[in-house]
Amino acid sequence: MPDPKPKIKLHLKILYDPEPVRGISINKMVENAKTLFVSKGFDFEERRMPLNLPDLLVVEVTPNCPLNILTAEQYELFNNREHVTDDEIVIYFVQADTQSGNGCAAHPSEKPGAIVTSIATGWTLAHEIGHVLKIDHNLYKTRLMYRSTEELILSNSLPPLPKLPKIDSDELEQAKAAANIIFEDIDS
Amino acid sequence: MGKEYSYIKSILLVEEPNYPEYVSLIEEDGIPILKEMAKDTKNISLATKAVYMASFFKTDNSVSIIKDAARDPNPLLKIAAASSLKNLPRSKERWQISAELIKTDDPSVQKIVLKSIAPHEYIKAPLANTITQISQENQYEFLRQSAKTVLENRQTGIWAYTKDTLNSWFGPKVFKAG
Repeated sequence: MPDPKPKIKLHLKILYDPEPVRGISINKMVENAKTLFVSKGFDFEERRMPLNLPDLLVVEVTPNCPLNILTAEQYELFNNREHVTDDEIVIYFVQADTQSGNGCAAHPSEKPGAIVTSIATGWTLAHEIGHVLKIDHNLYKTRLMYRSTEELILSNSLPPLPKLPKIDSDELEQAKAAANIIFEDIDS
Repeated sequence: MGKEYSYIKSILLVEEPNYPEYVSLIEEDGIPILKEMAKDTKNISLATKAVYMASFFKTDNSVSIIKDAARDPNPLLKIAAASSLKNLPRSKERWQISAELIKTDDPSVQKIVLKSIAPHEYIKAPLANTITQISQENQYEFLRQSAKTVLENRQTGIWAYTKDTLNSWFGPKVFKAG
């Protein structure tokens, strides 16, 4: 029997709507991420709910957002997993982080997730999901996991279907393995 | 040799910036370009990153970038300015920026300013007055509590004032906090 498809199940917690800042809606970010990951063989589900936390609209993070170093505010934010099942990646849409970053995928163990800020690009959400799936940055500008997704948004915004950023095959296999690990509890 | 706008833009416009690493790449001669970027609110991602980057240089010109951002009506620039405070040396300029920012109605900005004040710092009167007001009247419990903590931990009295003044002149190694 073939292996089941790796799944990405997103739960979006929306503290702040980014659309007025750069004109990039959450729908667009999700559409980009979904199109990309589905094209790479993932199942993709998403649901969302608002979250009212005025004290965490801006979240303190550490420089360069190392995945294993979290601030007290990140721990506090990631504790808000109400209505989230164990097999979901939680994305917190916030106004900003204290490093003026686009996003940050550092998360407590057993609580997979990331922050996306209001200055994010259309591909930041997909980039941070890549980090949650254990993919590091790479050196190629056309890749999703290049350190910047700014140029992807420029080159991929033309209708009808965006040209998708590439993910290296070894990174893809790594991400699928990571996705299966994250979700193995629910599958068993 | 002067830095180019596109070079600095390529350094800063990343998903998860690592500013301390960029100091040696941008150098002080890049500060005028940071100033230009910080004013371009049409590219707010780059503008906020330029403001925060400026706080690592600690020169008069870089501090003026943060001061301008603090006075800009764009909330994201104010947030970047507030986040920059903890990187600035204790100085008259830092207290001025703090005092201006904490008077905004934005609870996120107020939160970051309060967090930028280290325990045992001497807090000058205008800022201390606003913090006292926040501790008593602000609608948000998290801000009232944070303001109370800052007030409880602060240094008071003439000796603390003298130490703070000397430190702002000669640097924090003259007298250690506490």
